[in-house]
Amino acid sequence: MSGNSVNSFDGYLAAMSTFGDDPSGAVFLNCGARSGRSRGSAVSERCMILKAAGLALGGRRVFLASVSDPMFIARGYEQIRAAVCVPNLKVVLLSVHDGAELDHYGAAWQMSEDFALMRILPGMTVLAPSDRRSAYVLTCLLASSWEGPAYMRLSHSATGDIYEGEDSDFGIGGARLLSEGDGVTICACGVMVKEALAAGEMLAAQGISADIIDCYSIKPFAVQTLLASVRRTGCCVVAEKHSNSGGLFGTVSECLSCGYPVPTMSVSVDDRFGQSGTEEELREYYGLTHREIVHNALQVWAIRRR
Amino acid sequence: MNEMRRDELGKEALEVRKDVVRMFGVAGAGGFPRALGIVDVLVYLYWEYMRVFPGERGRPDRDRFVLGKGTAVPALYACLARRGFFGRDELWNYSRLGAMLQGYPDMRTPGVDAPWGSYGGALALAFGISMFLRMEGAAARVFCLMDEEEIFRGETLESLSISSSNGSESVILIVDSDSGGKRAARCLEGFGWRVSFADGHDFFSMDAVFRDSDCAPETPGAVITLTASENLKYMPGSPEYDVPLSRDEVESVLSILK
Repeated sequence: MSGNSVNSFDGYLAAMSTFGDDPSGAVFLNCGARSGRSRGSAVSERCMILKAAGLALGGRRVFLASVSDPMFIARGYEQIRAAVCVPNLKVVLLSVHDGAELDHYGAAWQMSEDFALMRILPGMTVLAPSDRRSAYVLTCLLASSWEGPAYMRLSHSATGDIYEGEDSDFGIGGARLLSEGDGVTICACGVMVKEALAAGEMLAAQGISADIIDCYSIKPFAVQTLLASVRRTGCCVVAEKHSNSGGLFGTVSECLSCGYPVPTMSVSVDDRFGQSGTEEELREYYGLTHREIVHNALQVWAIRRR
Repeated sequence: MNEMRRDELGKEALEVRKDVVRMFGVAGAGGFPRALGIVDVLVYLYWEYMRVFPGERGRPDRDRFVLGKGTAVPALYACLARRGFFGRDELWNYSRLGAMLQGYPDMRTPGVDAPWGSYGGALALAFGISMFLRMEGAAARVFCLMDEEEIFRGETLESLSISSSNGSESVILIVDSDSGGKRAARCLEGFGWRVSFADGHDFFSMDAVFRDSDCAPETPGAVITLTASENLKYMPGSPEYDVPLSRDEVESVLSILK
C-alpha cells in the first residue's frame, strides 16, 4: 500500500488495527458485513446506533460504520440526535464516500448533505481528513482522548499522500496551511484538498499565490487560521464534495461574515441531487475539479478586499 | 395458462435475461445475478398478470408496480423496454451520466410507477399508492416486489402493523427469496397476511398462486416467490456478486443462456 492509490480509509483501517485489540479501548462496530449478497441486508442501522449509544453509556468509546454509508446517518438521524448527541456520548460515526459503487447507483445512494446534517447537531464534531496520514492521526485522537460525539467522513477515492508518514500535527478543531500566499485563500476538505493543491500550482503560474488550508476539522473550526489568512489575501474560495448549503462553505461564510467579510465563492454541488455516472464523470459534471477552483479564484481575486 | 403460453413467456424471459446480462456488461456494473433472479417473476407480471398499457402511460386504471429490490432494477428496465415503454437502445446507456435509466428506480423512466423510497420503504409507498387509487375510485392493483431481507426492516414491520387499516386492500406483496422464504412467511402471517408460495421460475406455479389470491381480497395477500440464486449457474467458481463482468464473461454467460 503506497504511492497514489492510498486514501483516507486506509488511514482509518491502520489506526483501527492498532486500537482494535485493546480490551478496554474503543469498540468498533459495523452495521452489516459487505458480503455483496444484498446491499444493506440485515443492516439495521437504527438499532446499531442505539446499541452504540448503549455501549457508550457504560463509558466505552464506540466507532460505528455501516455498509449503507453515507446514507445511514440520514436513516438514523433521530437516533443520532436523541441517543448520541443529546446525552453527549462518545460515539464516532464513520461514513465512507465510496466512489464507484455509489456513483453507479445514482441519487438514491449519493449523499452530499452529510456535513450539514451533522454540523447542525449541538456538540457534534465533524471531520473530513484529506489523506491516509491525517485520517490515521484523527482516528487515534478520537479513539484515545476525544470526549463526545463525532462524525468523520472518509473516502475510498485515491488521493495519494498529502502528509509525511510521521506527521502528527493534527488536532480536532485544527487546520493545516499547506502553502502560503497573499493572493487568494483556498479552503478545502477531504478529496478536494488534492484538487486545491493542483489549483494552487495553476494559479502560481498566473502570478497569484494561494494560501491553501486543509480544513479537515469542519466543526470545531479553526476560525483564527482562516481569519489570519483572509486578512492577508482579501478573498476566499471554498472547495468541498458536498452541497453548497451547510457544509464547509457554510462554515467559512459564517465565520467570515462575523469576523472579516471578504468576497467568497464555493466549489461544491449546487442545489440538486446526484445521478448515475462514474466518479470521474460526476466530478466533471458537478464541477468538483481544480479547474473550477482556479476559475472561482480568479473571480474573487479580481474583487478582493484591499 | 396453457403450455403454448408458458413457452411464449419462457422465450420472452430468455430475451430479457440476455438483455440484462448485456446491460451489466456495457455498464461495467456488478451484481447481475440479483437482477436475473427476478426476471421470470417480472415477465409473468408484465406479460400475463398485470394490466399494463405501454401506449397509454397515464391511464388511471393501470396496475402499478413498486420495486423495493433496487439493485435488481436492470431486470425491470429490460422488461419495460421489451414491453414497449421505451426503446431498447436506452438499455445500453443504463447508469451512465445523463441516462434515462438510473442505477436505482427513478421517476424519469417511462413505465416506472414509483421511485426507490429507501431500503424497506417500498411497502409503505405501495400502501400510499393504493390509498390514492381508492380515493380516485380506480380499480387498479399495486404490486410491490421486495427482497426477503427487507421484510425485517423497521419501515416494513411498521407498514405491516398498520396494514389492516391503511390502504392495503389492493396491494399484492411479492417477496423474493432464495432461501426458502420461511422467515418472511412467519413474519407476514404474524401480522395477519395470507401467504402463499410460488416457484419464481415456473410460470404455471406463479399463475396458479396469483389467480388464487384474486379470490380472497378481504385479507392482504403476499406471494413468496422462491427464486434460485443464479450466481453459480452462470459464473462457476465465482462467489463474488459485485464484480463487473468482463467482455468474455458476458459472452460466456450469454452462451450458457442460449
